[in-house]
Amino acid sequence: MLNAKRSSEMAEKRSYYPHLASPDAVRPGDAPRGVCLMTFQSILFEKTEDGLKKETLEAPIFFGDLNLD
Amino acid sequence: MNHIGAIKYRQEIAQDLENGTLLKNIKSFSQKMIIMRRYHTMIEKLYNKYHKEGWFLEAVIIYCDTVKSLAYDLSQVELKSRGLLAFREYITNYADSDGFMALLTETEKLKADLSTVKYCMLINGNKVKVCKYESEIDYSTEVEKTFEKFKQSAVKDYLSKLPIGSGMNHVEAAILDLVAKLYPDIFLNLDDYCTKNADYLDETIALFDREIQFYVAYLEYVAKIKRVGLKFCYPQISSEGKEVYDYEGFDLALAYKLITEKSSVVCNDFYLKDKERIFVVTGPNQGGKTTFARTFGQLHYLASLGCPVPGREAQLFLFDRLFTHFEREENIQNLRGKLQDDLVRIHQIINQATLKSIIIMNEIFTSTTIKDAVFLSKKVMEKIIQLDLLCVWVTFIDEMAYFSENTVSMVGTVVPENPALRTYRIVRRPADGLAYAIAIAEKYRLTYEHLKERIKA
Repeated sequence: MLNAKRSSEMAEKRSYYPHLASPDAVRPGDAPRGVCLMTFQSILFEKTEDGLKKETLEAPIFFGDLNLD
Repeated sequence: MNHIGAIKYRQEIAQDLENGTLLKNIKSFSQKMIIMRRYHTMIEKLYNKYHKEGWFLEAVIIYCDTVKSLAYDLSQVELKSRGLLAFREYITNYADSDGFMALLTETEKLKADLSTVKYCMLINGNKVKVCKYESEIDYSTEVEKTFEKFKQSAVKDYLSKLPIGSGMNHVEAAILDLVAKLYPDIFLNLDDYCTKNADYLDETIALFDREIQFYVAYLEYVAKIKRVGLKFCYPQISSEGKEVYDYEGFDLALAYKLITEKSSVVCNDFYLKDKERIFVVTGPNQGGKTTFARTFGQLHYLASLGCPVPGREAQLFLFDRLFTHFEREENIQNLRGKLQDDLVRIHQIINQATLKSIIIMNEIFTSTTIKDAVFLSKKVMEKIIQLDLLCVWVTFIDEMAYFSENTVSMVGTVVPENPALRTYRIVRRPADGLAYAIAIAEKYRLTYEHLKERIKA
C-alpha cells in the first residue's frame, strides 16, 4: 500500500521532472567528500508530514467570496 | 497551516527573500531550471538518437551551472531562516560531493570532446559525402582576400540569414549519423553518459525549485503593491488569545486591481480587545463594508500560509477553519428559496464551526422582512457568541452592533459635507443609520424638498 502510494507520488513528480533521481537510486549527492548533513526537507513545510497532507488539498471554498481566486 | 511553528518557518524564509540580491539570484536559478526543463520537453519530441543526446548534455550543463551558481550565491548572503540555512548547507555539500563533481567533470569533458568534432561535407548533385576535416584550405578566406582590393565602400549584405533552430531534418540527421561513425569513441561515450546519468537531477534540488515558486510568486505580486507606498508586515500569530489587530490594512486583490488602473487604495484599521469577538459592519451601500469583511478573511488566510500581510502592524488568530456566508443566486436545483437557503447554509456553518473558527458573513437575510431579519439575526448571533469565535458580520441591521459586549460596531463613512460621497473608510464607532439617510433620500429624490416639488408638479 505504502509502496503504491510512493510510486504514484514519484510518477507525479516525474511528470514535471522526467530526469528526477529515484529516492532509492544512488545520487550524485550521496557520496559527499566532507561532512554531509542532509537534513533539509522542504522550504514550505518544517515537517515532512505537513507537506504530504497539504499537497492533496484543493482550493478552499471561501476563495471566491474573499476575492482570492 | 495549523501550527505556529510551521507559519514562523515560512515567515523566516520570506523575510530572508526580501533581500533583493538573494531574490534576484533565486529567480535566476529558477529561470535556468525552466530552460533545463524546456530542453527535456524538446528532447521528447526529437527522433534522432544523437540529437536527443546532444540536448540532454546541454540540459545537464545548465543543471550543473545552476547548482554551482546557487551554491555560490547562497554563500554570499546572510541568511537567518532555518529553511534556507538548511538548504544552503545541503546544496553546498551536494555541489562539493564526489558524485556531483564526477557528473560535472564528465559533462565538461564530453562537451570538450564533442567540440573537437570537425567534419567536411562534399555535396555533389544529390549525394553528400561526410569525412573528417583534415586541415583543408578554407577557400572562402582566400577568395575574400583576393577581392579585398576591389572593395570601394560598405555594400549591402546579400547573405541570407539561415534560421537557427533546435530541429533537425532527415538530411541533417543522416549527416549526424555519419559524423558519429567518423568519431565512434566520442559518440560511444555520449551514449554511455546519457545512460549512466539518466536520473541526474537531485530530488531535493528539484523540490526546492518547485517550492521556491510559492515565495517568489507572492513576493513579486506584493512588490508591485509596495511600490505605491502600501505596507506589508509579518503578523504575530496567536493560537489562543483572540485580540487581533491590523493597522493600514487593505484588500490585497482589490489593491492590485486599483493600482493597475492607477487608482488610489484606502487603508483601514481594526482591533478587537478583551471579550470583543465580532465586528458588526454597517453603513452606506458601496461604502467598503464587504471589502472590509474580505480583508479580515484574507489577512487571516494569508497569515496562516506564512505570508506577509497587508498592513503596517498586525496580530492575527490561528484559525482551524474559515467560513464565509456571502449572498448567492438562487439555485434552481435545490428547490430552496433565498431565505431557506440562507438558513440552511448558516446552520451548516454553525454546526461545523469551533471556538477556533472564523466566520465572515455578508448581508444575510436580505430577502425577508426587517422584523424577521432582526429575529433570525439575533438567533444566529446568540449561537456565534456561544461559540466564542471571531466573526465579521456585514449587515443593514444597526441594532446588531449593540448586541453584547462581544460585538464591536464598525461603520462605513461618508464625506460629511457631501454624504453621497463614500470615503471607503470603515471606522470603529456606534452605528448611526441617520448618517447617510439624507444621501439615500437624495439619491431616490425623496427629501422634503424633492417631495414638495413633486406634489407641486
